[in-house]
Amino acid sequence: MLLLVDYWPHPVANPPTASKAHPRLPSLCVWLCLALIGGMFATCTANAAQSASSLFSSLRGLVYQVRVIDTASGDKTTIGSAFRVAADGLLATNFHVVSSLVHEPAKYRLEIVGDDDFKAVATLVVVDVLHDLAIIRDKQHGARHFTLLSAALAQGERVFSMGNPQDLGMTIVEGNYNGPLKSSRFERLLFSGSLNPGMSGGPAFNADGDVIGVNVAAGGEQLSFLVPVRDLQNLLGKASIAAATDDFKLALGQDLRHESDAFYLARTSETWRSEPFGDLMLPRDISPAMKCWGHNVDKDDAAYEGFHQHCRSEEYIYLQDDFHTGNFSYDYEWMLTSKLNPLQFYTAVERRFQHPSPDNTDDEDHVTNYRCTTDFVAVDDTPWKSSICVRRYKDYPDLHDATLVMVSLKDNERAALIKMAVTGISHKRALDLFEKLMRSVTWDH
Amino acid sequence: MGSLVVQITGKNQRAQDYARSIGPTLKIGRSFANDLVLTDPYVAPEQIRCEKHHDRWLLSILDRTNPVLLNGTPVLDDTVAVRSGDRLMVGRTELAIFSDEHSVDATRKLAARWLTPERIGPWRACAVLLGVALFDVVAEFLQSSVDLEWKDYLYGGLFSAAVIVAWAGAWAIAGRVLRHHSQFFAQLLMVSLVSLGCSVVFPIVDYLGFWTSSVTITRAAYYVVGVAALTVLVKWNLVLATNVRNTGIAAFFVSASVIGLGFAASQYTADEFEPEPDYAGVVKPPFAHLSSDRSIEAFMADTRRDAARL
Repeated sequence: MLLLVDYWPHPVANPPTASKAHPRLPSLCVWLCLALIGGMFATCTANAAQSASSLFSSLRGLVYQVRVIDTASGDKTTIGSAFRVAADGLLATNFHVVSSLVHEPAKYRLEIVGDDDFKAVATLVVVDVLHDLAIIRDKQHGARHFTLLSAALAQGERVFSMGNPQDLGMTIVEGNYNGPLKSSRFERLLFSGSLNPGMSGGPAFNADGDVIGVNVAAGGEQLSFLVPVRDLQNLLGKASIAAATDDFKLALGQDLRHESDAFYLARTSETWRSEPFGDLMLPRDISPAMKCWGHNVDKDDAAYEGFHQHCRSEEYIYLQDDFHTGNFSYDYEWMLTSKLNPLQFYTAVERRFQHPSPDNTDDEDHVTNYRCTTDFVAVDDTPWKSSICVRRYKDYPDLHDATLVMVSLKDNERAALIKMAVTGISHKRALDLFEKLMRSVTWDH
Repeated sequence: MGSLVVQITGKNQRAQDYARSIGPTLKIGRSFANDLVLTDPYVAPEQIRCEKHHDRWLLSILDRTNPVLLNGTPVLDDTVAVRSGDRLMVGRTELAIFSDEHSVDATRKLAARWLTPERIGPWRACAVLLGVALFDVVAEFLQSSVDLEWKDYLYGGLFSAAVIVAWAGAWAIAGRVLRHHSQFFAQLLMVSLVSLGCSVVFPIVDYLGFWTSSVTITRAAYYVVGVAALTVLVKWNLVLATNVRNTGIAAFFVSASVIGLGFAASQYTADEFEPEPDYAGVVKPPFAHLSSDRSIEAFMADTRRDAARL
């Protein structure tokens, strides 16, 4: 339980496994990672070790390190991994590995480096921001490539992953396949093995060397995530018909918009189940792709008592290193007091009457200022002080961040707060969602 | 022109000494034989002789070591006629020349008779200061003691008392310089009372923010009340520390410019990027909720209109 509570504030996809060139590379981390991989090999059976070594020697020529080179300094700014997926020079990697090239094509170029110091210039072919995939191409291609597995895998099956962690050289990692994440908005496979920064975009394959997914993120010790191979197959289909372009942003914005439109249309058109929360009936389980956590405040020295329910999607879409989207969260809070006088209680409530922060960017290059509308709104015949703020993405048409906070008090000693934050949504969908939430709020008479 | 009055003008137009003509002459100089004795080493022992000729007063310059200036221009002739209200510069001394028929302003009324040092005294002023600081502490505690210790409120009260004393002290020094009266305790009393007024009025402005749910109206109200409070404060400071005539207007201009500058600065930074939303976040008890509630439709219509303008 402690582990879970500890874990919840960190979204699953929190540390993308692309390694940013950083002047202060934490040497302790490198040491720990090495120790982790070494320890894992020690626990493996002799049989498995043999199989890993033969797989490694046969596949090492198909996996590369991807370098995003800053053209001004001529040195790498981001590293990840990539692997051959077709005979015509196509390689798969993660979108987050090449995102700086997508956003500022004039400032960066792409390079792949093989295990035998083979080096080649690569170009971007097509990207899938939603599933964090990108297809790149180099000209000096060979005929050999990975085969993509079309059959399903059983949970627990042995899975191997390759990549170049921390720029230390090509490695192979063994773990177990644990199936797709239940109820996730952007499909991910759970890989119980250890991925490290720099392995992003590398292949994960079964004992036959057939690709089952693409390395994408690490969530904790022996807890890693893969993009399902199906998404890679879909993107490969697009790659064959993609026109040569330098501008991936437009299509990227459209993908984001279409996905979020469909996702939130589903949320607003389905029926929400209401359950008691304090003296209220509130909708619960608004999205299956959310994790909910609760806690209460009832210490002896606390001036008021109360409890919370926080629900948040623990996955998001990586856009740039200081900008992500696709967050969805809501928060119910119930407060009551027997110690505070009305004025003091209202001060306590006022401190909680704050817009939830989606925390996805604080850079003015990406978003406008929030525009807020605040008023008293009659919800179930009770006044709720309600405030909605919306800000627009500067680079992507009709995508917004929107937040809602509303509060109502009864008898100067009970208060309910409802908050919701959505990022990467059209303002129409966001406000439809908020309206539906407001209409779902009733007092439990 | 009747008899002649010559005043030695001191700092801030305050007459230090004067002489009135008894006969048709009046002598001015450094020697003790003069009617008006100047202690200025740059003035000759016999410097000026004033004589009455046919209802006019003529000045004779008796010594030319240093020039004599009449209304700022050097007197080149040996004698010169003067009129009531003329200013004379002799050496480093400034003199004002008046006829005894020169009209004077009507008597100014004291702004408040109770605001004299005799009536206020240190004890009363300190008692009011203490009362105001205590009021602040208690009011603050009753409104917001959610997680602060009572000590924090006490320190807050002490701090506001220190600010009041410092402000009154600064004006007392100004009064000492400008009027030769510090009026410290009168200043302390007035500053304390204005502070009390602010403690009462500003929370009401918060309520205004709650009623209107508008950031703009709340901010405008803060500026208006800020100018009003500062005007009242500076007006009383000026009354006590200076002889300025239109203290109210002067105070208003000072306050409006100070707060106007603050407003201009905030406008200058208004276009800057803020990662956090700016909204009317005041929550007050229901008795302060005067406006009627909007329907969900009406509120969402407003929100949609605002979002579309982004």
